[in-house]
Amino acid sequence: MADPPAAPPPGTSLEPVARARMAPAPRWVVIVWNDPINLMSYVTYVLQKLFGYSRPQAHRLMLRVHHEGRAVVSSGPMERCEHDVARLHAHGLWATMQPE
Amino acid sequence: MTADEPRPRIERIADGRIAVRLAPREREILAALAGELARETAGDVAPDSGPDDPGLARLAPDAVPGDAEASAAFRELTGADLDAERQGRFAVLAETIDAVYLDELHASAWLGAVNDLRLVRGTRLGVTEETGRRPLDESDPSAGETLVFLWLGWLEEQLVEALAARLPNAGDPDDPDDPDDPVE
Repeated sequence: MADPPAAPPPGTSLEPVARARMAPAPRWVVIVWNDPINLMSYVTYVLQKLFGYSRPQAHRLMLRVHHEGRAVVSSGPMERCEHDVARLHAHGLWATMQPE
Repeated sequence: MTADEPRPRIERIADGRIAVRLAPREREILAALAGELARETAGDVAPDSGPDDPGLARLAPDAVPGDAEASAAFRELTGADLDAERQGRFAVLAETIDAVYLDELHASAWLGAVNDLRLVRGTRLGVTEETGRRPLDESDPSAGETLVFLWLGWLEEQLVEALAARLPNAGDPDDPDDPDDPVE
């Protein structure tokens, strides 16, 4: 591994143009919606399996979906969210994505 | 588990395998239902309810609501993989339909196939959260379909329980915060 680049001296500020170029890509969120068919236990299982949530975390997210009608389950760059939505669809969850 | 609950028909046993104790007739029905949906999702046969079948549409919801173009692009990008994965699950179910024990991969395929069946059949039936909570009206022409749907849900609960026990983040069964504990 190469050494990390030296940190800029304190007080260095970027030109506005450079700062604009470094602006982070827009973030997206992945939403799971409530539906009357998927079992609560199944939704919890899928959230644990796909995202590595602990059982209590996945259970809380599932309850939010169930009671509030929807919950954000992941967020990040568009490509990452497309991947997450595709995995959720492959498991039968009603998932969508939208800009944060 | 209480004394009056029947012994599960699908469950994780001590040696780590998942035991399947379904009757031959139950296996036949599951294989027939899954085979039919495999052909419908592959486009080999038209669904009973016509080309705009809401059941099949449920398997691939719009990824970006309110943006038909983006949702179509998403289907273009992911649809083939999704279809191949689904057909793979149906193939595993067909190959292992008589199995007495399932490993993780086979049981995952069963779970995915059973969930697809519930999504498609439940959507066509128009089930609500109340379905299964009130007594079945036997004079209702869809009572038989509803029974099949509830039977699939009963199978699915057992598959989920068996598989969830072996997730790396399954949690500690003695954890007082465990959501499966009866005390809420």
